[in-house]
Amino acid sequence: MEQIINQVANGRPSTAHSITIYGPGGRAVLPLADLDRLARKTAVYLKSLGVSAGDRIGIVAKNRLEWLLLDLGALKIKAVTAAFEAGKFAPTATLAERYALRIVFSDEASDAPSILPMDGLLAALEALPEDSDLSPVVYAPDDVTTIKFTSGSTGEPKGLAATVGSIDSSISATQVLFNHSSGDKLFIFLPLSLLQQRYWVYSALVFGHDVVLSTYQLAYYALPREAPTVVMGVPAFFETLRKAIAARVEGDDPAALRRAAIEAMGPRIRYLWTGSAPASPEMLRFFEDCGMAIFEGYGMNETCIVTKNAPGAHRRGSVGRPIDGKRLSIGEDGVIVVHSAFPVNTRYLFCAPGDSERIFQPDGSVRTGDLGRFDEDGFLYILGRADDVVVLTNGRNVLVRSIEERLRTCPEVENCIVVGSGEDCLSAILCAPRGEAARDAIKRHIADLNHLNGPDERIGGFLIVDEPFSIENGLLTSQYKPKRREILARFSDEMSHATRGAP
Amino acid sequence: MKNIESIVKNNLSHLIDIDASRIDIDLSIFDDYSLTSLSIVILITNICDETDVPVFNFTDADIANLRTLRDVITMFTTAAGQDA
Repeated sequence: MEQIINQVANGRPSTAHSITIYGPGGRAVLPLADLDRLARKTAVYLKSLGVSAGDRIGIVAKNRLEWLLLDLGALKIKAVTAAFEAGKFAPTATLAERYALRIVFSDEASDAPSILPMDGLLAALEALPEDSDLSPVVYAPDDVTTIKFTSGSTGEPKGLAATVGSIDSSISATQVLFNHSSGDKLFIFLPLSLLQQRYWVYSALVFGHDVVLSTYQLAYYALPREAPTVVMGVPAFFETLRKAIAARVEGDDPAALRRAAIEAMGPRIRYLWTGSAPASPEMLRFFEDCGMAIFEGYGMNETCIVTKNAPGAHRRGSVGRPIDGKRLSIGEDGVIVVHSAFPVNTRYLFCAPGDSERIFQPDGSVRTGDLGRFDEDGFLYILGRADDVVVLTNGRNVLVRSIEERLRTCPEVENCIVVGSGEDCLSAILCAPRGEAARDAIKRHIADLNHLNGPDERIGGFLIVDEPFSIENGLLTSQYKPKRREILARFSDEMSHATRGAP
Repeated sequence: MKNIESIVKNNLSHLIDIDASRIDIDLSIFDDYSLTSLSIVILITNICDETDVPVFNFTDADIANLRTLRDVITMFTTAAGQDA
């Protein structure tokens, strides 16, 4: 396993590679050596503010250069970053107090004395001497560099302190699979508050390759202009891209689709990375048909990357094989348990009593709550969440995720959930942009599926809604997964009048 | 430059597969046309490419405040005028 964090904290990257940043101010290119130089100055600046090893600094901001400088600067003095997703957390004195933060940096204005504006950071660095003398730092595997926050659907987000061993192990294992190297340019746009996004900057510094950091608002603009070799995304991003590419082409001529895909992402794509949520088979096939490898993986905050498809070890529909340092077992109840050579952690911070024990097992393993199976070659297939199981009144447990995927293949259906616990048959809540105008087409689609499905998998009632499921209205998680409880609560009145009887 | 309203309508019609003549620019892009935050981003990006309006002209707040296609048209018309 490579000593990634120690190298990032103490190393001097070459001038051969660069980071390109897209933000509200435009596009900027910075050699990685300059990024490191500014990070060293940031470390000195943090020390001048009284920050020392073990202190926590909060970051509440969208993707930008200063975000990275604070993260890298903190690494150089063993301060701990607490990474808050902009828009979900407000930079307030309460935040600083609740999470014991010495200072909070934010791109939003605040009157609180403990909140510092990010806009002033680069100017502050300019005033510092050029070659700041910093003592080397040494990280042990159990040391913590950052706190991430889980996107729980209810209550206060729980904190999770990430260990150096887990970071080193995850980056090293993915490097074995993908060999990111000098000719590569990795494209990232998901929030830097998600630790995994920072991995690819660390990777650039240690293994020597280019990286592009964008806000999500500029991602589709930046892609064709930067011509990356790798795009780190999530299914919703690629699904939106798929629709836009398909819309550019009359018919479904494969060569025309390939040309349109290259126009959208540039000609150098080596592979597309997707994870965090299930990818639809149609989307995966679309990009493969466009000549672009797309690799689905599996992991969660509490485990980091667990499995990954990769060149030479890829099976569409699976989430790949376990990466180095991970071992999986599947319990009698079908739930995947992850054993890590270097666990992310063994407990939550800032959580309610019992929260940690529900997921972290006494032996350090993580009970994921996801149901899975392995094929004969060791590829893992996710069958759904344990809470995706609907228990009908006949006592049959029905895994509804695959049924939902089949419902989404109807062109009229944008999203859906299937419910029915405590009922005698399944029902579906379907989001259709055309609303009731789509009823006949949806009804036919459900009738066709019911014809193919087993008795307990048939949809007995359905409700069409035209309100989209979105993060903004609280019906999707930040990783674009439908929030079942919230969707059911939102439409519970209408569900009682939903179409009943097998269509 | 082509008419911005027709560019905006054409781009939406391609994105969500709806006849451009049926698009009402005063309807909600969220509730009536079911755009997600990502599909709004790609819509804006495509319109920028076609109108030569630099995407950096718009702040995150500009995009977050869009509610209808009329808002989109106004945003581009203003930006195009400033650039002319």
